[in-house]
Amino acid sequence: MPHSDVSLTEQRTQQGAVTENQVYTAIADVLDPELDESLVKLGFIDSVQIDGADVTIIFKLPTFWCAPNFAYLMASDLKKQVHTLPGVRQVRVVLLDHCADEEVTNGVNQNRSFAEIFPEESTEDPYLEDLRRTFLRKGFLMRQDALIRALLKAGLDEPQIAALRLRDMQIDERANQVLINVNGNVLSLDNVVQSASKYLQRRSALALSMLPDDALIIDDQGVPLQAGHLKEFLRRSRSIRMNIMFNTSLCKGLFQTRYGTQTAQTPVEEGEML
Amino acid sequence: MYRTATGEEVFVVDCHSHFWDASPENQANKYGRGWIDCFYAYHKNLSPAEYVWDLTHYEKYSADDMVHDQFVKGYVDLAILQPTYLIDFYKNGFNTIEQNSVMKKAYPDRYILNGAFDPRDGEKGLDYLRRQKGEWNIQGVKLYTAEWRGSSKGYKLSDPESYRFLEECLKLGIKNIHVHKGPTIYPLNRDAFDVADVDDAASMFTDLNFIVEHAGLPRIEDFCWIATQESNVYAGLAVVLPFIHSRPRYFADVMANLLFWIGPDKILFGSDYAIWEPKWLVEQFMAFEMPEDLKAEYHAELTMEDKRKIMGLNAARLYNINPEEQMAKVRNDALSQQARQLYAA
Repeated sequence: MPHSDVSLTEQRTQQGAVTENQVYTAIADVLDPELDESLVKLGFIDSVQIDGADVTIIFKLPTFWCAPNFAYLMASDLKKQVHTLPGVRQVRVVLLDHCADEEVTNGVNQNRSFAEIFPEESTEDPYLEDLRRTFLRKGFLMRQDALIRALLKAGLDEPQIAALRLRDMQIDERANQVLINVNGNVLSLDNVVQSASKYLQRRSALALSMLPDDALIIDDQGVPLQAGHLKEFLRRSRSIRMNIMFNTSLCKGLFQTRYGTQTAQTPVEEGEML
Repeated sequence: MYRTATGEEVFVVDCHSHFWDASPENQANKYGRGWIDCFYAYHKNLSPAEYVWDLTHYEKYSADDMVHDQFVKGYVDLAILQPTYLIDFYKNGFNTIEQNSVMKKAYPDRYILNGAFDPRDGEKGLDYLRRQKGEWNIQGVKLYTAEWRGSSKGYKLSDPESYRFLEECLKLGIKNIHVHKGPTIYPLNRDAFDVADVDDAASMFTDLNFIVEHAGLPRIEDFCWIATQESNVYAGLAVVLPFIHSRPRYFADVMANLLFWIGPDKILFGSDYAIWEPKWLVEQFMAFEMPEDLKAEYHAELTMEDKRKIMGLNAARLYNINPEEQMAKVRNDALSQQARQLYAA
């Protein structure tokens, strides 16, 4: 049956067209692995271009020299996330203004591994999955640090914290509340909703156990906190948190200096971190 | 020399400074442009507004500008010149020992001249190291383990070739090994997060001092751990210290951690001139008080005595400088006289 141009366009719209909003929603959780922060929130997404069912995402980084291995992870995650949208046909990712912009852009769009793009970088981790995991682990410990400090501030002592189970914590994002059940008494924690929910997300992403009866506070290998060890626990997690925050502050500042734009502010989270 | 409100003298050694040429005429390619633009972003982002230079001045400043900023305005008694070669990016290099030696020659009592090596240069590199010792009697070197060289994107301090060079340093009496483990101004993944090679080298060469510049900032938690293990590992404060102005709480956090893990005897002041000017860094550091909660958690007081160590006494120990003698040497030189005039006015 012959068909007109109109029906072709309709067909394409029905099958493919995605909106910019859908794309931004799909990539909302793509992280700068080192900063453990969303690229969208950081302002690193320059633009999204949509041509029917084809999507191009253009992104940029704080400096010309940002590590290409992280750039690779970001680019490949962006691509993967956009492909989860129904109806999307082709996805292209473009890295701007970077010492390895062509290598990363072409490599990721041709589905090549990091090791294939940069063969002189001998690596036993061609797709950088170990690297990704290292930083998920740091992100996990950083959120945990904020959570433990909020528990201490609410008056819990070390044995009580060690005794908490996952089911003892309820996160109510809409009410901006974290509720903790301590032997039947329910306490509300201040200003720690984002950290608590990201703590659970990272814990799950690390494939650490998530059963309701599991200890709430476990280390990055899954070993529960033992009463008497909290101080060491916190020193480690605090130095990790401090390092990520320091890097984030530096990178946001450099990005702003370079492009003259503000990165999206996340005052709530910063407030709860300090 | 810095003078406290109560008139006490504080000896100041700027452990990290450069005399560079990043002018467009010296840039060899887009990397040369990209390098100085990135440095400039660091400068502009973290300096107080009144200390922000224009880009042209920043690309190439004069010897007069430099001594004025360090010794007249900037309270510095003695400065260490750290080279950064970048011969792939700049026609005559960015900041080689040859370039830096101009400053040393003009102001011999004010500067310590450090050298550099790259283990990938093999025999030729060893010869160059010996030549630097012979010509300038260097006491230290600055290393960039992530420097690009042809298809190689870096090396590790624990590579066998590196050990050959460190053995040569030991033999020549070059005791201070400054290693850039900082923000990834150089790209690829080797340098991006790894300070483990410093650990290996430091435990192998216990008679050398390893000064990790920028305190391994992107991986400061790993660095603190290594520095705790090895008694010959030090932290250089360049890049960390400028946060004191815009993000004092983050700076306090880092200082508390450094004081707790590695202690006040192993932290060294450096401005990274011309990325930042020493004047405001010294003033703000001397005025800085550790917040009470961090004092309590880390037992980190940052006392006046700690500040003296960090500002100059630690570096003096590493470089065999007697602070009293050094102060006596420069107390009445032309630069000190200009400084007195400036601060009397």
